[in-house]
Amino acid sequence: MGIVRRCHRPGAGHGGQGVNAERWRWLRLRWRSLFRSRRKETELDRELQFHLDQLTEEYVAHGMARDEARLAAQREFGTLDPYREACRDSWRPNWMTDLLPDLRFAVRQLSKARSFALVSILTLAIGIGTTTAIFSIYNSVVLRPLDYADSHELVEIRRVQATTQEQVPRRLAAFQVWEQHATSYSDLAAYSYLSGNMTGIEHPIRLVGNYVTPNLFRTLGVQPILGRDFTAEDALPGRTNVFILSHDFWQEYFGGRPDVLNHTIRFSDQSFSIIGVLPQGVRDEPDTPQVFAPLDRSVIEPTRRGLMNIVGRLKESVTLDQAQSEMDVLAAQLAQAKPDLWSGIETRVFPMLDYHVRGISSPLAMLLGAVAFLLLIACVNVANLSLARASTRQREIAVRTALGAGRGRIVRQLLAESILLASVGGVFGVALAYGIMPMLLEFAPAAMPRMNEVRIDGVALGFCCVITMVTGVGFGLMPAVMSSKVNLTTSIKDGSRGAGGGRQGGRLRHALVVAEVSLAMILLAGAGLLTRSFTNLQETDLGFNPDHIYATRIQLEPHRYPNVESQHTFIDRALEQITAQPGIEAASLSTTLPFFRVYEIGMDIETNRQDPNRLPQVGFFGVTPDYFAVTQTKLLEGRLFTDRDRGDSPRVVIISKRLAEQYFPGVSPLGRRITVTTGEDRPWFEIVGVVEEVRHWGAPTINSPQFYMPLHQSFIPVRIVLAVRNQPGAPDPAGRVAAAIREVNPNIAVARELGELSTYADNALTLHRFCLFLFGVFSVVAVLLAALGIYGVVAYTVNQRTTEIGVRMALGAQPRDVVRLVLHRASIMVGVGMIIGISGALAGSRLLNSVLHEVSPQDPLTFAAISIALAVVAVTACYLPARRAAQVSPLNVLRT
Amino acid sequence: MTLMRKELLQGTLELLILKTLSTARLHGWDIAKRIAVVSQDRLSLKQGSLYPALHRLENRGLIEAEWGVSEAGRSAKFYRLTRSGKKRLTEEQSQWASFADAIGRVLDMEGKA
Repeated sequence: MGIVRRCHRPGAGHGGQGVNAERWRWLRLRWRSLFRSRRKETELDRELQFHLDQLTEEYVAHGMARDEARLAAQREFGTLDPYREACRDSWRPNWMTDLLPDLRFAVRQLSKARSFALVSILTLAIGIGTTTAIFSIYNSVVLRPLDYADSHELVEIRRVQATTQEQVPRRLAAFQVWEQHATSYSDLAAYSYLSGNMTGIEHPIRLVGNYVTPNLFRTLGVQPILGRDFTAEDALPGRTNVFILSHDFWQEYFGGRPDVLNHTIRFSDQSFSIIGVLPQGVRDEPDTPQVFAPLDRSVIEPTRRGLMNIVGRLKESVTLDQAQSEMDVLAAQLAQAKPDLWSGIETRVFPMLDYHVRGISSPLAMLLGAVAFLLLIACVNVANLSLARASTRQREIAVRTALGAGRGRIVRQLLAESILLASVGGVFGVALAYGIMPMLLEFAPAAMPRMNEVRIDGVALGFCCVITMVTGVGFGLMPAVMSSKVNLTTSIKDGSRGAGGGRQGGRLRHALVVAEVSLAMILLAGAGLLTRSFTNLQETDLGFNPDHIYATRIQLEPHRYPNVESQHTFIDRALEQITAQPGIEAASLSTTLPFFRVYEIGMDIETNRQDPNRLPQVGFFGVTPDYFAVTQTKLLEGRLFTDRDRGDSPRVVIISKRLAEQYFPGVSPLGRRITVTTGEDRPWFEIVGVVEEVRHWGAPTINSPQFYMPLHQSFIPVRIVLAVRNQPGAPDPAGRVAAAIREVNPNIAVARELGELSTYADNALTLHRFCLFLFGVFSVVAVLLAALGIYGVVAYTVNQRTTEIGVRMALGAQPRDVVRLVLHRASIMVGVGMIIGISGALAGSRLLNSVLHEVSPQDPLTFAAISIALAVVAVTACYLPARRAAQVSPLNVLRT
Repeated sequence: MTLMRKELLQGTLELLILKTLSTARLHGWDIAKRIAVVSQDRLSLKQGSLYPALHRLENRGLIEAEWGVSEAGRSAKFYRLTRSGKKRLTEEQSQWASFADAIGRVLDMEGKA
């Protein structure tokens, strides 16, 4: 038997399953006691009265007269008040009832400390506001479910190269296999691209949209708001001339008229009847589809390459992993059965939301992390201010303690103050968030998915409330606990310059400064790296000059241009007409152009045969001779194409620099022969020129090297890209181009506005610019806050040490020595903070990788530069109070 | 019969109340009565400590109260144990037993030296 323990502590821990119920009951009691105290009082009175009556009855039973018995009972009972008081005490320890007076008191206290309150609220508002704004974007884009019914069940299915994980075109054949064999889906739908000229109106327009399997909208859970959905019959050969319109197209071209269902559209010289209109928001993305037609499988040859997008709805009981493993099994089986089509290719099942936001979710998460740091710095700063303030309140707190306030009570009351500060800061923060939101969206990447859905919603506001409370407690708790530890005697006795939270308070203050400096350092490092990266991006040679290039797609429909001759005639005449227009320097037609779709294709070399299953992929461009005059891509070797490179002349190609370096290292590739077709009797093309490498998607992306062929010697796609180089200063050439094309064929649509390549090139940088802008703002604010924090702490310490400094000076210390004394302490804090910050930044900067361009996340130059910058700011923040310390007059100090 | 020391230790008082309530649903008067009867009047609960104790226990969720009708037909506030009250009682009871046992052993020791 060990030590005897008496464990009759009331309220000692009692765990188990009863805890939750108990918590709940406790809360209910608290709640009730907040509002029903009067009822409780009367109940108590009744209860005590009952007891008194019972006592009276007992005396009566013992033979007393009733009146006498009552008196005797009352005598024994005494007055009721002490019981009442004792019982009330058992209800009262209630922070909820304390809260209101605490808050009232906090308001009074804070209105006495205006500048403290103002700085704190401002700091918190900046922290909370920016965090709320960034969270709203993150929430709207990445977290909020897509606007489809049960959208968590929706998946995108893609085929990727096993080695590179790059997407390969999905073919109808693959879709049909999955459609027949996959059991994970309640619905599996596919859609491909649709485009053509809409005629029968004054100016033909080019329609874009999707050919869809009839179940696509059902799979997505979307109902047309007008008319009907597609049925299986609509996809039968010969019956596919029906359109469902997107909401936007309906509004734009039919003015939202409900009788649109009686209309027909002339598309590719065929009549399509309109059978339905989709609700708003369905697939209304930039470059949005306007019309949907049923996919006629007999037309799209089963094995032909074509971009099929495949979406599925998982059965309720099926998880993503199960679906993925089923697809893996199917892929393995198919790779054995048809290796030519399936080997080396994996199937991936992505949740639809993840798939759509894959490019943006990690940059956004990174920004959210950055803004969280900013919030943290704001908290640290306010904690520091509170701590300094608390030390001036030692006396007040000591008096309260002396009057019987427990430590918990003091902490609660100080916390009420910080929660009040945080709440006011939160309110201003929300206002700030609403204020900066439009600006953020202005800067947001052009291609950011779900842009139109970004808003500050209930979730974001709830998040804001939570972080407000957390910050309130976060920055308030430490100082509150710290300052509730008071030494009554010393504090009350000499009050004025009390212990100041003592040694511990000083250490905490220094720790907070260190934290602030290191957090600011991390943000600054991010901003520095992004700045370097952005400079690199802007200085990147694209290999072409996107300024003044205007481009659009036009549609050479097969029924109008059935053979090569007719296509060539159109090309020649169109270019002739366009270049005849004023203000146009050069014009070209090509299979594609930078920022338009890439055709990747396998290449083989006559003198260096490649493995037919692993042909190197190159970007294929069929171009007219003036193409390089339009793009201003530099010729490095050999010659460019001329008008003499026709369909019947010797076959020639031009390759890009990287292709030349990679496959003809150290030798001139001129005169060598390569090809992009397969088969034994394939034609070989002689390399006649080498041109500069082109960054097809703009500076941030590296793509396959390029392979150019005269358009007259290449295949001519249905969609062909028309590009013109406008003379500087000339207006958008769309009108002139349209007029020229009309001369050649009035049924070919030209867009009302042409896309400007410089805009595309700029858009390619918006993600980087967005991250840089935000990081830049965050880090500047962070550095300012940190400087403010350093200044505050050093100034406070100087204040505390005035007497000591005075004595030192009286004993002969020079102002220089005093400055050195103050700076010495401060620079240790800053130095430690910077070291921690640099290590943190080095560890964390890898997270930036997705948005860094040709900069190592550990770039020494950046780190050196920001260290110096931060050190300068920090020293300045220290120097101001240090100089004031040096101006202390020893006479004044010693006299007091 | 000597009356025991008036002030019961607070924990002990609560233990007595919990134990009494484990037998039946009772109002304050009955609790005091029962304890007096069972202890053969050696323990007497003063209302001044009884009611605050009851309210404390109620606040901690060990007992709960409801208004009912007494045998005499008057409305009275009845208390009964909650689940966590029952659990608490067993804990306290075994602790008390071991405490009493320990004290007993100490008091029974025989001097040797």
